[in-house]
Amino acid sequence: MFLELFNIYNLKEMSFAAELFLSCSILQFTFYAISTAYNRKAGFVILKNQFFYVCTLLIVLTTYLILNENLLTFNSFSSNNFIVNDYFSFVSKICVCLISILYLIIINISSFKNKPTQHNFEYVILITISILGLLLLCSANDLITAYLALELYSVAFYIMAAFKKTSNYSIEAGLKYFVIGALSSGFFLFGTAIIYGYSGNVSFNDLKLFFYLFFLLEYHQPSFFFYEIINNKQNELIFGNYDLAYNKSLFGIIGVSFLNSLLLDNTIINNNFNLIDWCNIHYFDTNLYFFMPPIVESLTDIKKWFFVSINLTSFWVLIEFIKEFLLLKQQYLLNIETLSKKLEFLDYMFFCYSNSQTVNTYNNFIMLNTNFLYIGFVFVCVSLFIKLSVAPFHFWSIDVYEGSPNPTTFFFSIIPKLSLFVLLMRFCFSFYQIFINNFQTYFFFFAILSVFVGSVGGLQQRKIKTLLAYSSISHTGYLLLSFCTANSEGLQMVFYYLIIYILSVLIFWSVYLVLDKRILFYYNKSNKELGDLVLLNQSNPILALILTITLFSIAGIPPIVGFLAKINIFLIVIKSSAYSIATVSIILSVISTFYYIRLIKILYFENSLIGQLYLPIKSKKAILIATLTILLIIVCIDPMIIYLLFCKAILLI
Amino acid sequence: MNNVLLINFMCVLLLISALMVVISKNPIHSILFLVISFLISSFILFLSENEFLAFFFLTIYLGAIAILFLFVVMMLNIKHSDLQTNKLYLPIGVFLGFTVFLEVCSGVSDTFSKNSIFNIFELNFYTNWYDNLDRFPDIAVLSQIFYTHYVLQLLMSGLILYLAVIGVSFLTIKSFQNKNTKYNQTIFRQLARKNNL
Repeated sequence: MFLELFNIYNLKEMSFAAELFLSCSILQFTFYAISTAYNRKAGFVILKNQFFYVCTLLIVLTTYLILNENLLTFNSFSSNNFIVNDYFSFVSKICVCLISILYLIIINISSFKNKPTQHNFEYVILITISILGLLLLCSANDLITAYLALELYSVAFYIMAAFKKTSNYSIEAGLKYFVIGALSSGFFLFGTAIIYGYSGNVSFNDLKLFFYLFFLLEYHQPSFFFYEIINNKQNELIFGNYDLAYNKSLFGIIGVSFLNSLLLDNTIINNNFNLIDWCNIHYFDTNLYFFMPPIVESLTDIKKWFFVSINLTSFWVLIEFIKEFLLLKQQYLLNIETLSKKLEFLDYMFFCYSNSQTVNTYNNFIMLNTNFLYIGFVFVCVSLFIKLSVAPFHFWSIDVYEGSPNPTTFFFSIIPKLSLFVLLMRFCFSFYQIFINNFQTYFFFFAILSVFVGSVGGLQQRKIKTLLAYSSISHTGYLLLSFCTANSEGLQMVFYYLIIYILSVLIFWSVYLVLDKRILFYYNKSNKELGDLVLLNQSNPILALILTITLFSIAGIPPIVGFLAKINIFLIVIKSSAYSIATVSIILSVISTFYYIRLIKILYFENSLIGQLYLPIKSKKAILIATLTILLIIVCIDPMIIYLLFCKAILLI
Repeated sequence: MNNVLLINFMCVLLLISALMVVISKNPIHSILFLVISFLISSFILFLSENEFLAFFFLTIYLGAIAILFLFVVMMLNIKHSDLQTNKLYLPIGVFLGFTVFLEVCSGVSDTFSKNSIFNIFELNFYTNWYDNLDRFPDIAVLSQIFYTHYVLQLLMSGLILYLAVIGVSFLTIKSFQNKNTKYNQTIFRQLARKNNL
């Protein structure tokens, strides 16, 4: 029967066509670059802008590949359920790609004199490899693929942080980042090992099945079964839970629940079936969970429940059997007698697979010791928090952001958070949601602490990069706040806030990189202080206005869209009745506005005679910055554009 | 267990080399004995039909850890270690080691149930002839799974190694540009009272 699927089967792995393309093109590109840049006859050519253009083209093509995701086969799991390709990953991948395109354009346009990031092609290759890692991270359905993707982009980041070999700061930043990043990856792996040791599986789907089967005592989702009449004589029985009946090809069935109606008298299963409908209907790979009723002829005998083995590797035999049972094979022309025999066999199988580890049968489920699951969860979450630079684990980010060259800090501050939050959401809310009560308070604590650190730590900073580092810590704190509430609105707000923050930070960094001082006192001192932005209003009033708008957006001051995002987060926190947390975070956000407004004051109202002199800005840069600000203003006028992106995506968790 | 004699011989060599790691005065000798002990342990694993773990030992232990030790000894420039002459070290050490050894033996013996009739180790073996005739070595099994189901992970890890090669070669290469740079120094800042560099 699967031979009929042969034409589709080869396309099953094509849902990561974009990543495949990107990886092959990176390899090709490195060979080309090495052959040109290390060619002795040509005189070791330095190709400055060519590499950036090529890599922007590569990423544009990957976005094009990602956009063509409307095929039936693409809306599924591929590569043996290690890659998931639903709307959530689609949206996040597109966001990552677009932001990276903008980043590469900005970097290409900004002028660097004698800077290694411009003259070495390895930098662009590292950027593209890290983007590949982030794309894989967005669509990872497995803890091992997530770990590999994490390592992929982290190693690229370590090298990017240490890229400027003549600078002590850069080398120090790279070393620090490497040590701490390796530690966090080790924690992640340790957590996955513990989870594997406890449950026997590592894939998110299997873990969801495991958790929902063993730990979900109350289940409130609505359930109904479809009863389609194809002919008068033959009836086809389709049963499932439709959480969102958007589109079968997009979403499919969330779960299958065997009801007692399995033993209705008129369940003669159809022999002729449509392949496409079967693919749409029997969508077993998504969010499969089982509630097994007692399989006896008397429907009211609920006492006779079964005991299922703890390790799911033996459970899959059962599931395969049930799949066969539902597969409508021609061999299984079922009457009632054969059906009952088959079900007796099922009952016997359940009995055989029983491990008697029942201590208390509470609501006829098994009580299991969950300590190891908590430990695994803690380790994985700690590793992700270290990478996100959440408060007790934030110490590396300050030095790394300060020390690494400007383009890399730019990259660090905008891009990795999106994918990391995607992974965090998939990890925390697809199956660990059952234990939300246990970890919600601690996550709130981390969030508040990071807001505090970000707000209070940036007050005394005179360097702009550390200022931005502290602000990024505070913003991750706000994101975690809305993340902890575990509302669907909260999760949507995470991404909404992220995208607005990313947009405003893009503009800020583009302005930061555009300003080249005319008179240089120190050799290649590229890290700007507060004094370097003095009285920008007099030399370039529009640039000062742009900076003010972006700073208002980052700080959360009303007419600009950053305010909307922040207030939505506070509203969600209040909605989940965390009033003290909301008040504290509001007060801290007010405190943090100080160092944003101080910048504006320096731009406009500083008490010095003349401001800093800058070189004139080229038209390309001006156009880019102007377009980005106009985007921001458009988002102020119509903020629902971004909101609608992710609202559908969150429901897929 | 047809090659019990060889395994026992290798175990004896392993014990001797491990002891020499601790005893030898020259640190390079101790590292060499460590290398020998890793090799012997991998050989024993080969003899026990555990090829994957044997290769694992060779790559990880010899390829990474022994080199790590070597670099440490190189950089710290340890010439030779003087054995401290304290008369109590030997008896206390022997006593503690003997107690730990007894505990290990008790733990090992408790996990294996005794056969009342045959208490002899060499006679308590069972040959699975089907396995001898038609069986994949464990490396073949692993490769059959890795290259079919886990291709993506293999490719990703390959990309990580590729990235490591690129990064390392960039970070350590001596470029031609850095030779002719002039560092502009601000002498008045260096000599000033309040050194606000």
